[in-house]
Amino acid sequence: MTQKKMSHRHSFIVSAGLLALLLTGCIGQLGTRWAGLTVLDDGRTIAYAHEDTLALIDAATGDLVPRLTADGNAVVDANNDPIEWRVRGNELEENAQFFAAPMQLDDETLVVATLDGRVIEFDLQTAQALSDVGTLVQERGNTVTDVTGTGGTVFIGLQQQLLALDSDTYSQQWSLTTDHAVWAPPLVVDDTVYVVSLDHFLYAADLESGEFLWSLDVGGAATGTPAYDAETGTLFVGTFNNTILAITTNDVADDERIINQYETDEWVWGSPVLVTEPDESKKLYAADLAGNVYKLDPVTLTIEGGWRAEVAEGAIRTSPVVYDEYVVVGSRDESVYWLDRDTGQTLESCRFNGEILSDILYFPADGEAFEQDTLVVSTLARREAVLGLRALADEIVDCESALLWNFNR
Amino acid sequence: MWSYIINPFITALTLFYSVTGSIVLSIVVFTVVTRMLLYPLTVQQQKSMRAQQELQPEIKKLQEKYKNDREKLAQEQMKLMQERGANPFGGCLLMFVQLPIFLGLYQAIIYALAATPLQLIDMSGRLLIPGLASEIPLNSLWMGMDLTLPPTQNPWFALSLPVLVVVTTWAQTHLTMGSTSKKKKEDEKDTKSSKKKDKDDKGGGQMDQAQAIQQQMKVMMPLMFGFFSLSFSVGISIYFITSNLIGAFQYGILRRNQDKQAEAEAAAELTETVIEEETEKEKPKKAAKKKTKTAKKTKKATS
Repeated sequence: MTQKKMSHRHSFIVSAGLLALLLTGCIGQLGTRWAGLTVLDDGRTIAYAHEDTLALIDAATGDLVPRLTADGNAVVDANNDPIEWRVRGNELEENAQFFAAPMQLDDETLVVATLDGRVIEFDLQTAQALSDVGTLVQERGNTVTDVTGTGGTVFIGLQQQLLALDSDTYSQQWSLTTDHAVWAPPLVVDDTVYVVSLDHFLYAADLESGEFLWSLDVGGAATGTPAYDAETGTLFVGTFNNTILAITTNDVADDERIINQYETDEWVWGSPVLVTEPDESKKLYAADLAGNVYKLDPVTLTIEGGWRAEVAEGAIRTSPVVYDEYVVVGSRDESVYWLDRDTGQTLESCRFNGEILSDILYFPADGEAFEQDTLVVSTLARREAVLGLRALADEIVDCESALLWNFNR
Repeated sequence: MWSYIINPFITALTLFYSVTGSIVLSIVVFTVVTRMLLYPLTVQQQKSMRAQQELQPEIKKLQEKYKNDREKLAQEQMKLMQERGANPFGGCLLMFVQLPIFLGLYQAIIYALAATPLQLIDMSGRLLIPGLASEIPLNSLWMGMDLTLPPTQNPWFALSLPVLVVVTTWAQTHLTMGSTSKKKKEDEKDTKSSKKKDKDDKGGGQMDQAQAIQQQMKVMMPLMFGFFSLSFSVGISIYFITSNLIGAFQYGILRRNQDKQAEAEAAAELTETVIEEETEKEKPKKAAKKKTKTAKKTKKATS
């Protein structure tokens, strides 16, 4: 081949490469999902699942939990150093990816869903997968919904159904068919399962049999587990139709189910949070993707006695965390905001390395493991993947001092 | 800045979806409308390519004439192009104008078919018409295929889409490049004898390079887009196929019009020549008649 022909070929390959780069690279972020975080029953350990990493982190220190043998002794490497509880996706047969928050089934078992639709049990001591490739629950599409369960049933939201699995055998107990994906874990109240779908509907089904009870068009896609007021039997659902709806679960006609609705500025992605205030009244907290946070009266669904605050420049996907005199949210603008619970005014904000989309966890000081109130925040960045922060804004001098620990993936 | 391009596209795509109720139909309508809007640019590009092609014989002569003086050759080429109103970057510039639009289209489809939570969250705030959010997420299922997934993760028959992408890209590339091929073939005939000689020249080398790249593109473009279709979601394949078919149709029409125009021009030229020849033939007769008339007049006058 002559030099000229070679150069033609090279120039063409470079052009093709550039085109491919433009086609794929200009889209910006085309990731899958943020990390799934679950607090285990000991109230201290967090199960962290993101991309190729599944790990157990001590929320008090930020250290990875050591692996133990079946006898309870620390597993050590050749240098006698303890081996940490961390599983890489490529250690498993099918090169697994993790995005859904895992579920602790019992003292020994962690249940994890992989992106390619498998449910795998891991030993909580040894970090060993209890089955080679797990149970396949979805052949096509992404599995990104947090795994939850109750009384022998494991729930997992899939492309077009909510699946209820037997927690012993992982065989299907029942499934509820939807027209689009189920991305929110269901809410179980007594004998009824409530689940929202991207198909714009809220479904109610019998917990035991999965029998369809009723459904309601909520006007837009819904991705947050409903909040529930047991006193009034009211569900609160945020939607992509820029609304928060109050829906009664009582026995009424379908067209009477929606009691109230509140208009937000943008889509409501995270679950609304119903909180009993210090004065015993109840308030509903929610955030939208325009960066606003709302404190609403759950009866009238207005900001009467509450507030609406423009907080962040980026979208707020997380559910607000409410404790003491604070409301805390994380945003896509990579910041955590501490708001005054009474006024909604921003008291403090700290910017980190990545977008904050995972729900924030709060651990109150207990005088033992947690010497101070701690928030656990996860970002999309590999560096500062999980952060331990001071929870009390008045203890924060600057953002550096807010950081208690940092876990890098 | 990309948002200014992408957001109107996403809004349009969602609007078409709200009207048609089908994501495939909305992609098709969306692609048709966009290609129609870009049609004036396509025409310009084609004209520019043709003008360039028509200059080739003269450029070739210049290359031969100034084969040892590259600077002079460049000056003369530029002068010739200025005289004929041709822009050497005309085709490229138009391609660059179209590129962000096509990239925007491509990205809008990716966003609108949001398959994962991160993609869907990126959709928020992008719809410019209030009320369209109630359409989100768009139903991505069509004929048993999930349009958000690549063909390899769909039923086996989804693999026919990359094949169709290859075929339609090939057809469009051939039509685009073939629309100027007639002229090129004629030029090749004229220069066949001096081809070997030209190849060694720097100017001839440039011609060869352009032709070689064109030949490679004819083969590589379909394969490359076929490969993209295998890796990207099925929705993108539908966009590629629709866009290629419309492109082929547009280029087909352009080519026919250009050929008709060329035939008309040739016919007009021929008619003009015939008239000129006839006029030339009739000139002596007329002169003789005139002469006779003048002689008669003079005779009358003298008598």
